[in-house]
Amino acid sequence: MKQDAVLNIEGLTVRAASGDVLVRDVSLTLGAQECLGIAGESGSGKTVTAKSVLQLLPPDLRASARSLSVLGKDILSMTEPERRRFLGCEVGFVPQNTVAYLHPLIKVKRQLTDGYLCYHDTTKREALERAHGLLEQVGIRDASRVMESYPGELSGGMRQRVNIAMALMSDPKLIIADEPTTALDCVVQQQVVELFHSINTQRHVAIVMISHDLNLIRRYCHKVAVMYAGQVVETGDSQAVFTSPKHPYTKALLSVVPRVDQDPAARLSEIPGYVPETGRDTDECLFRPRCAECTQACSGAVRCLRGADRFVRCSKVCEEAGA
Amino acid sequence: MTILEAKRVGKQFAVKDSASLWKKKVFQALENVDLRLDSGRTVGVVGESGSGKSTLGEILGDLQHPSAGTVLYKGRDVRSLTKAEYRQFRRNVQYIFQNPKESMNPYFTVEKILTEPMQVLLDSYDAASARRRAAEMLGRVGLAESALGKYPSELSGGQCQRIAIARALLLSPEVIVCDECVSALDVSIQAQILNLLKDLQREFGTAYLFISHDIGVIHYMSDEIIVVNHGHVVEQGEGAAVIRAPKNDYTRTLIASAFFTREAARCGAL
Repeated sequence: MKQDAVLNIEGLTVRAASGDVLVRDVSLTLGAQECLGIAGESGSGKTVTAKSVLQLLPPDLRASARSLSVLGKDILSMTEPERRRFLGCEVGFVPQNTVAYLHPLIKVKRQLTDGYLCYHDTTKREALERAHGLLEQVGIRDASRVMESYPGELSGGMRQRVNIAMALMSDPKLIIADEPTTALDCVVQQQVVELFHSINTQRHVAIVMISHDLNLIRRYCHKVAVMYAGQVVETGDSQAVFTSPKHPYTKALLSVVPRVDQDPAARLSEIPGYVPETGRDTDECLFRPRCAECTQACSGAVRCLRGADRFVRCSKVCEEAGA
Repeated sequence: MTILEAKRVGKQFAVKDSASLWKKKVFQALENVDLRLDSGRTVGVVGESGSGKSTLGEILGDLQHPSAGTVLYKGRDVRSLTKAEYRQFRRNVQYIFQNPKESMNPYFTVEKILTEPMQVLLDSYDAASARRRAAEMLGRVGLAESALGKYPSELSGGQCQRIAIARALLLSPEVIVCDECVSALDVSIQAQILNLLKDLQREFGTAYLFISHDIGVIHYMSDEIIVVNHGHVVEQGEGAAVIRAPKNDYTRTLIASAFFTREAARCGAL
């Protein structure tokens, strides 16, 4: 484990009460001030992974891991109150659904300050001033009016800015954003992602950004982890992964999105079949039934290529690399 | 052949005025839109949410009446059609909705979902041949015949969208309005559905009105592109021309959002 890692997950597995495996053997590392993108289709376990770091899983899901540490502290060995205080102060969370996350009947100013007052020994006035300042920093021009508003009076982009300001209240070292722009229009989307970028570069906060939009991750994240059916299939430097993808799923994922610089007369490539929803508790390759490149080497337990800055879960890639 | 034509259509809604409890104010959802749908061609409508693109689709499918302008079906005003002609219009203009599961009755089996429109809209209907055609069409959209006995809740989103497409195609329509029909699907399933729609168009010569917020998808599907923003058409023209040489700033923003680098996206967008 790297000493300066902000987030270190090793061997995370999440099971439902019914015994189904949702996420299996996920390992991720995030250095200080880095921005990690988690990419994948729906049902690939991106959100479950993020929520198990924050201990926000629904009660019927159980997470277990070999090691799960935030800022070098093992959060699995903490007691519940310790963990709440630690995560509440050091980790911010930005949700996808801006409507469901804010209480519709409580003014923005109280929602912004509640969590902060809970964990910090300070006055209400100081908290309100802090909230006001943060709203201005996230690009809200009339912060005083927004403070006195109810969430329903704000647009989707404004609500997402309020959520981001709320995540920043305790000066976290890490922000986990779960599809933060999916519900927003493309112009607002651009502004919100730029805001995340400036939080990352100017406030030096590490960010985990979950998104199904590969372009967005390619543009803004230093590192990327591609997930498929509850497993991480490829991680690495985002420019390297996107320009020379190694795992067949990453390659396929990049080629199925219609692009504006492509000739529309050329047929779009497809990935046949569907993402498996059950039977994930196996050592074999889960992408094999849909894979265009699978060979004899692919039967049996899947092997992983663990390079210095690249991880690929594919037997064929391992064989080609001579590992 | 021109099947559907919109002439200067507009739509106004009465919405609640935030300043008063009982006053209503007028919201202009769509203004002065002209478009023509020819058989075998696709017109793509792109814009962000709230720009009026779904309203445009609903007006052309006669799910909403325009508050200005007219919709012509084969040269005749939709409002002036006789009852029998209107039944033909309903059969020939089909719709694929964004959320396939919500557009199906959860208590119907796939067989009932597929055969009911035929029963209502086709002049000669017999149950056995309808079932046979439904089974054939399922094969055409890449599903097994065993799906006929299933309920929508037993199928995935991609499979349901295939059934929605099969339901529309079984009536051999002249026009299909596809309102964000791939937005709820994952990219790997999206590619399958887009290719399927293109293949079926080549085979049956159906015209599509393809509505989406994704400029890449619109570019792949459309012969002609209409860009709408706040209810106004800001750009309209041949697909390749609009993408390669956009004249409007908003179109440029949309195109820039599809690029890889932060710099390219910024120059275009902000």
